[in-house]
Amino acid sequence: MPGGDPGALEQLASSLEAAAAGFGEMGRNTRQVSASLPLEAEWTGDAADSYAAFAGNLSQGAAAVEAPLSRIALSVRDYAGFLRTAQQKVAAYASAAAVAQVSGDDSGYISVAEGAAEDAEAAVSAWQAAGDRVAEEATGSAGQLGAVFGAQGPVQRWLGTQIVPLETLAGIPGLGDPVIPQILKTPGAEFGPEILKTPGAELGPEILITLPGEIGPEILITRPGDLAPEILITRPGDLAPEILKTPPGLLGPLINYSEQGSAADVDPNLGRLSESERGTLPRLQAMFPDRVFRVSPEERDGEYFDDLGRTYDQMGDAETSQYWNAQKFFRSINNHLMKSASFTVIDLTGFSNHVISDITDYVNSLPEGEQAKIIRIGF
Amino acid sequence: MAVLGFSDDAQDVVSFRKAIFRMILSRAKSHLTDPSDINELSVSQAAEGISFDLLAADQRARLVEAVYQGARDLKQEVADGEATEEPVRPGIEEKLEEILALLSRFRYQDRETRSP
Repeated sequence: MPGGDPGALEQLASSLEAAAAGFGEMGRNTRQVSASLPLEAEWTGDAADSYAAFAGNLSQGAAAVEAPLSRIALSVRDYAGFLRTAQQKVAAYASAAAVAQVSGDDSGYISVAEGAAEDAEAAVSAWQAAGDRVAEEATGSAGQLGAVFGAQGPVQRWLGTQIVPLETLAGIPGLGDPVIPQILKTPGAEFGPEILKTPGAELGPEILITLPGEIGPEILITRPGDLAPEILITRPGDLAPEILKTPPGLLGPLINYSEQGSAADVDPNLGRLSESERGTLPRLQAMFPDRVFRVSPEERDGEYFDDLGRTYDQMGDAETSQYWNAQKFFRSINNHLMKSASFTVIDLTGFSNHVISDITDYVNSLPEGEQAKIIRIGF
Repeated sequence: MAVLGFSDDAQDVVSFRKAIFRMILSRAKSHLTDPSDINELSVSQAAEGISFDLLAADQRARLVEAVYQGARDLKQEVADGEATEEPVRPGIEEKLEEILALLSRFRYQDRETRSP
């Protein structure tokens, strides 16, 4: 996972923009005041001359900071956007790869995972290029800023007064290591994760994520470098098997199982789905790449549940279309919505066009609240 | 999921996993002789549930009884530890109990309706 906090970086960019504007304003104000003060106050002599010299230098130096600082802020903001996209794409790939894994190398899941891998690789490349641009911009601007931006200069002194989250600097090539490279986040919500981040090296952070909730797994992700992350996912307890994965690259994961070594053993619940329910899962995953879907282990919880504990009820099996009866299917939709899970997934993949059209019309006629509970696939 | 429903009231509807539905239906069919009843269960499987209130009263009574017997057969097999054709999950006993309770309620209603 590319290291760093896009939100914190954007805050930093905003702070830099504000600082740049402040320096510009200071330069202009100083020049204006310096010009008017001797006349208005009738201040003359050595002290007045010394002040005029100081104020002139100050206004010139302060004004000179504005442009390069603004460019750095723009680059940091640009970098934050690429970082956010890269993190999302890599997370989506990890999620898709995990689903493909537990599916027993189902071709549909693999196809989704491969697509996600390509997206992730492109996003990571774009992020790295953005990092190079930030470094270049910082280096180029540093020459302009000179002593003003040096360790004892006003910018550093000003920045020293700002509260900046520690992870802001993590993983930005060219901006050096964070002063204190260990970060501990503990959101503290009952079901929320505890996250330990230790971004210590230039090549990338180490991340430990532990979800202590009743349903949630424990996940340890350790990515020592950009190109060869190691991922360890440990799902203890009765609800899921333990999985150890070591993908050496985005496109070619090497996977080891800590238990039986068979895909069927990894998620025994997967075998409890019908063919149509299994077929819907990768399509659902592709539609929501940011969610992690698992097969429900309990009879009461629908077909699938996600990483937030929401349950998903699946409808749709093209194999049974020979017995198609619109009125009964529509009533069944109503009953599903009335009784079942957080979401009802209606998957019409493989259904005939007229059936799809009928169901679409019916679903569109439902109240908005009920439509919001329906996830449409193949419509 | 599959659903059994007797009205638009949520209290008259029960939902459960489709694998359970299929196993109940396969057992229910063994308690039926009329081909139209057996076909109706196949239609219900395609609709992923049975809406008993859409059926004619006589067929509804036969199917409620057959589905009740099918659910009871499955419950007995699970209780005896017999291997079922599709795997079951934790909570199967409670879910079958819920299904049987709903069917029982309307099974008796149908019997009263049919009584002279």
